[in-house]
Amino acid sequence: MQIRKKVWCALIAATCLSFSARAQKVEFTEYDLPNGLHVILHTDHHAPVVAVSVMYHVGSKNEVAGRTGFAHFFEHLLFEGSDNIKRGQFMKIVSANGGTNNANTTQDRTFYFEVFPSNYLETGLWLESERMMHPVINDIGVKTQDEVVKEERRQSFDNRPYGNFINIVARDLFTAHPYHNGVIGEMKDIDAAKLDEFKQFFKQYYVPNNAVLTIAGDIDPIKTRALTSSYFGPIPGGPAVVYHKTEEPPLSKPIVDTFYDANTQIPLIAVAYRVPGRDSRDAKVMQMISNILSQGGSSRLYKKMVDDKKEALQVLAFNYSLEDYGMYIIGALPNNGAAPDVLKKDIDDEIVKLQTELISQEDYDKLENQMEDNYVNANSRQIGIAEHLADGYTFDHKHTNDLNEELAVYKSITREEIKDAAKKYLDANQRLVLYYLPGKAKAK
Amino acid sequence: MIAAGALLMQYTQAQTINRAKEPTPGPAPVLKIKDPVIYKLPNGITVLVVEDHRLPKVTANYMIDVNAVTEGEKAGVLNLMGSMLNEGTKSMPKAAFDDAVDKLGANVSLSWSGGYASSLTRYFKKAFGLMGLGLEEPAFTQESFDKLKSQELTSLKAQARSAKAISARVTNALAYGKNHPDGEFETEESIQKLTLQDVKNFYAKYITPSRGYLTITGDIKPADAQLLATKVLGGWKGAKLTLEKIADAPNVAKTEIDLVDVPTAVQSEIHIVNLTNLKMNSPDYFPALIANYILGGGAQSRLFMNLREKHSFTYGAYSSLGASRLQGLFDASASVRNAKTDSAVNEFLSEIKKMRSEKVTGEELKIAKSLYAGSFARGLEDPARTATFASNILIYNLPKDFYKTYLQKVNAVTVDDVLRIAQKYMLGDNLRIVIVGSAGQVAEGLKKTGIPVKMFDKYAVPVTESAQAPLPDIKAVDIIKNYINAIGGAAELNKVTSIDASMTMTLQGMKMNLNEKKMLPNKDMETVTMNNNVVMKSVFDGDKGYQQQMGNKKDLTADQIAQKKVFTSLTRQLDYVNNPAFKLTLKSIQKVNGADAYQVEVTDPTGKISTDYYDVQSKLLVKNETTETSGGNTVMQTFEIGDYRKVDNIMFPFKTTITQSMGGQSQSFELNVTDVKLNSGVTADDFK
Repeated sequence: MQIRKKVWCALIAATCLSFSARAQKVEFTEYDLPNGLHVILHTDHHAPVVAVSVMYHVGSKNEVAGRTGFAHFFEHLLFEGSDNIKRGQFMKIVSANGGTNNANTTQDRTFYFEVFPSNYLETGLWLESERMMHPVINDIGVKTQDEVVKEERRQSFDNRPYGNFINIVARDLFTAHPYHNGVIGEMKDIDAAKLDEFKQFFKQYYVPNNAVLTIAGDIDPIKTRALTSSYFGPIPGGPAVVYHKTEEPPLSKPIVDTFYDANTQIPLIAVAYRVPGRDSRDAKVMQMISNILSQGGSSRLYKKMVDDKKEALQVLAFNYSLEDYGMYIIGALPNNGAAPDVLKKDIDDEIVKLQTELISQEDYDKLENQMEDNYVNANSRQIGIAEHLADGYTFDHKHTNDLNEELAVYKSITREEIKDAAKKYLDANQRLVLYYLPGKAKAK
Repeated sequence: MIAAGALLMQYTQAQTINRAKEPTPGPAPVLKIKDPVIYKLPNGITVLVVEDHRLPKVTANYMIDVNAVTEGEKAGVLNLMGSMLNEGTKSMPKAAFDDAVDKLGANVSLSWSGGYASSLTRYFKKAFGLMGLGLEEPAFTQESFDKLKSQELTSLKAQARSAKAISARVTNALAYGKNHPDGEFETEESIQKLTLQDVKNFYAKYITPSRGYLTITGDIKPADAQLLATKVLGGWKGAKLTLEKIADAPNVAKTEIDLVDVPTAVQSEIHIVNLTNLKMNSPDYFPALIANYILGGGAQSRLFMNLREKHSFTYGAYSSLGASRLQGLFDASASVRNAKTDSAVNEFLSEIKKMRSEKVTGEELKIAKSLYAGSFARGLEDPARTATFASNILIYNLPKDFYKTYLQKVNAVTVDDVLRIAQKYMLGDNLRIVIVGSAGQVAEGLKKTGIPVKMFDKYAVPVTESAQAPLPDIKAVDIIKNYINAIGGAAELNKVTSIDASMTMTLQGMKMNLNEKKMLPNKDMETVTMNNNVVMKSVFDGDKGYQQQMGNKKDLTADQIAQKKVFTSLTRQLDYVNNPAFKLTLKSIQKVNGADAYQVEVTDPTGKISTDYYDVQSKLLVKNETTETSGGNTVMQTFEIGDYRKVDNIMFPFKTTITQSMGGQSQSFELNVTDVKLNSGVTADDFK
């Protein structure tokens, strides 16, 4: 009986796997231009839409001390125009042609994209190649974007409830590594920088050999390949980008911090741990632990703290996964005036349970289903697929096919590995306890 | 393979391109709008299926076409009823229901307007079944009801002082009237009065197959979808739904400003509105889309370019012009800093006037058309979009080819159409300009616009402005002197050389201790501790000082030092009366906690202004307001002071409620004194 059951299970698993692989494999072609630009093409004629994106492997962790915020500042600066695109015209060209565009910066990379009706593919290539080839970097642009970034800082961090939460966690968890500085950086650093420093930063990092061009959607791959050569081929390559990871010494004792945010009405109590970077298997194990703790009404923290004890309005557990390390964060917002330390105790009890007991087979099956569902939902739009492909190349050692293999990795992670990772990384003596409270520090 | 390879070689030859010119687009793609397969179930549900096998998932969306419901004194019941549908079913308590959903890795959620289920293809049958169960037999337990009611009350409290929340409520209430479904709103009182029976009554009336639209999209065959829909929802019976008849509300006879005072606001929330009768099936619809985009639809539009880019009054200014089966709203809005409120109103009005009096340029029209064409094409990436098209055609009674000819209709719009539409839907003389902000700071400027200003409270009730009470015949300096006498007299106060006060405060369950020490002439020191850890400390030794927070130490700036040095006494009011460099002005009599108080504005020798309120009867200081600017943000602080008790020969306030407001948000906390020592326990070493 035992054997038959096993065979049956394996059979089911195999069918499911092959089924999903067939239905979901994201096909792509990839190649390098002679200047080192890596190009990835994905074709899908379902809707008349094309996403054109460039991922530069530069983020706030590439900044030097005293010049924080540079990478994010460049995200803005590179909208100022180019030799052939007049100042203020970049975004106008996009919307006047029925497109949308945006950009975002993390600690590790900067991502620019446009989504157009597919007959505007060339417009997208022109815009992105102009940006890479000869953007205008001058005092007017620096000054304008300086104001905009200050406004963004107010809107997104200083005026937004919980806006500084991640910055504080990063500040406390990292002392040697540049992850210590938030992506937005210090405004005084940008104010103090000379124009030449901006030009130098551009030359160093925004070169074709440090970028991935990904085009996804309703395209003819052969014609598109020729177009990428025409638009991006003439851009000269630069010296190879050298980056050395700063090793962060292990935490020797718990850190306790309190931060006040005048925009919030309800406190947030959180614990945070350092975990391995995003290319590691353990980063995926931690992702699964997040689901066990806080995904869905039956997740352990949600059920206990929100539904049963009614002491929390909301619970959260997530792996803020970065290239060199991750920040693993668990937290809760109190309800009915519950004391933060009561919430912390309940969180800690669940961590201990993960460290000492294997999750049940039932819970494990649930987890596998959730991982698969999340995975399928992540690939529903062309711009999402483009980013996912570029991520694989940039962060998984040039392994673009990562997105097609990710689910198999999740499925191979065992219950024992989950328990071991909880023991190894969720160590009460090597963590940050953060009281993120409403109000201003100054009280009279 | 070889042929393809050769082809590839050929094409990868780079072409020389003219970079100086924006590329010419290729021929416009032909938009394929595939019609969904539509079935009708005998109980009235219309089923629309869009087949799309690219991903192994299926999504179902059930929408009940309720349109609008007047809740009346039960305001808030629909939302609460919707939340209750997620609290388990008759056969499955909430925990079991959640577990069943999560086991599938699925998402299932329900609301008063329907339900949603999404899952991997192989689990869709189960996920959809759970959605059906939630709709058809909710558990409706008292325990869930009590939990959700308390959560709703908590979130209402958290928003009580939010200028944005007040603005949304008051704008709709004034525009539509409080008895209109779009104008009514829930309050703490209305939520408190709701019962589980109310929830059951509304459920019986509105959660029904009647006027229901079920959209199933994804990796499923239409025939299978129909079978499944029939199996899960086909046997469901419910009340017949008829749309409520709602009378049209009138626009104001003459443009007016409706001002709601939120004294702590640092920004004014401006909404300039009028009601419209724009319908999606009217020929006006497409010109209206274009006209609104040109005025305020995006970051390239006129309002944004004027109010943000040209004048820097705001981070963004927008407009919307809604089509609705009931009345829609034309709404131009922005959050503007206090000082620029009246200027912003003038710019808004002049942009609206320009839309009504001048034709837009050909270039503006072209850009707006491209934008709609592009966003229509991009929208087709979402497979559910074509199902939405089909259900809209049924619900809004649109021509069958409405979406197939969408782009043609956008392209047909002329500059004359835009002018005609602006004149019809963006009114010239019948606008309501609803402003939620600090009346003390914005009212004067608003009066100068020449538009009548009417005052309303936070619940849209008119505030009858009693004729400005004449200022009493008393000098500001005497009010201060009366206060000094009331708390013990100058002679006793002058004997105080040091103060050592201990206080506690509770911030949402977190208990903290404060210790404040002061010593002549103006030394002061404060520490805040939590669980015996010092979380904040500030010190001023008479010449210099610092503020320290979790290892982050900042020296006081020259300005901060100058402001502290103007005092030479531990009771600042002694300086007010002794030092002529302090300017005192009696502004008015205001109500503080229901009692009359003198509002005295104090300008210190450095020019910094603060406002004190002294109770007319007791003479005591009952409130103080200051504005601080730090890191580019303006923070308004209000101290409400009370519970005076005698310490030695001096009256000392034992309770202070501090309210801080910034960027439309505010929050309060209470300080309670536990111990005060005068002239003991303080040494100069405390201020190091």
